[in-house]
Order: sequence, then structure tokens, then C-alpha cells
Amino acid sequence: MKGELEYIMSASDQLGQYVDRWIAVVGTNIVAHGKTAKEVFLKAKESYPDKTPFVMKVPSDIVMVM
Amino acid sequence: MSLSAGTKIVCKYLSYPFTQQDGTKRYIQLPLVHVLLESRVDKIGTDALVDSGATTSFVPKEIADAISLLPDYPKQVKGGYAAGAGGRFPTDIVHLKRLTLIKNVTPFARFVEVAVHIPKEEGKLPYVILGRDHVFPKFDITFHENRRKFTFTRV
Repeated sequence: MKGELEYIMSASDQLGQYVDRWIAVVGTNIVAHGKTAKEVFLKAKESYPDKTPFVMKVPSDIVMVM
Repeated sequence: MSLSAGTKIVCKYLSYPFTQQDGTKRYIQLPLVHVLLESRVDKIGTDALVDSGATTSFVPKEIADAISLLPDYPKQVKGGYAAGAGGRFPTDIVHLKRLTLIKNVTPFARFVEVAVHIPKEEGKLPYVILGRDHVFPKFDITFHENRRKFTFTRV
């Protein structure tokens, strides 16, 4: 059974359209997208109150240096 | 949940195409793992970068705010700083009630009362950073860059 991150990996060709935006995934569906994590988290929880949404920012091609 | 020593969990890099503003196509490839973060109020699934170069772990402010990870009273929060080649920025240090690592739908590691840094400003981090403070002592982590995979081996 696929988890949300594995779903994202299998649907990676769809991610380009969400670069630099936050998305919420429940099961194998992107159920919300928007400019803030809280906004998409709350939208997903409203639609799927019994689930724990998976929320991520689709990263652009930035260089991460910690 | 309690893996025996030597058990291996192999994860794939997240890899996807991305068209830049000038029309050229690039591929993003990152060693990201699914994590479940729990505060005292709520919980959220998100992605975490496994980063052997970070001495500590971080949660983006945006994710922390979504699950009310920061207490209402700022005086209860210890302040810190994170520094790297990218500069220095102030953080709040708080404790996650629980941090769970997941592959597919199966948890394979759980940590309780995990201290994490949260940047005071939004936009500093695009994802959770799993540094060497919590996960690395429990797992040998090997990156197979050319195969776009990474392996957690239970110590």
C-alpha cells in the first residue's frame, strides 16, 4: 500500500505545476494547494476530518546550504 | 516498530521535472522521507530531508504553525540560532511530542520529546531537516546518489 510520499513520487510529473506552493495529500489525492501550509492543512482536515493530511512545499531548484 | 539491529529500510529519492522560467528543464532530486510530526495539539504528515550536514533538526515555521507547535506564551520558549554557509538566523527551540518516520504506510522509527529548532521567520526552510541529533544515532544512513536511493540501517 502506498503512502502519501510514495504517491507523490509516482505522480512526480504533476509536481512541476505546484513548485513553490504547498500541497496537501490524503491517500492518493492532492486535496488542496495554496500559498501557506496552514491554509492547505485546514482545507484538507475540513474535507477529511478523520485523516492526517500530508502537507509539503514543492521545492524549486534552490540550493540548500545549512 | 522496534527494528532489530541490521534491518535495512531503503527509500527512494523524490525526483521530478521542473521547467525553469527560461524554459529549460531541470530535475529535482532529494533524499526525502515521510515523517509524522505530533504536537500537544495536532499532528501532520510532511516530508523531511535527511541531512548529514546538519547538527540538529529543524521544522519549518509554516508546519510548526499548522500544528500549533509553538506555545502561546513566548516566554516558555528557549531561543537559539542556526548557522551555516547560508548565514545565521534566530530560532525557537521546542519539543515535538512525537516524531515518526514512515515508509509507505508503515512506521519504522519513533522518537518522543524531540527537541527541534523552528526558524523565527517563514520561508527559511522548505521542509523538515533531520539532522544528526536524533535519527543518525539510531541508524547508519547511506546515500546511493547515482541510484537515487538512501538506506537506513538500524544500529
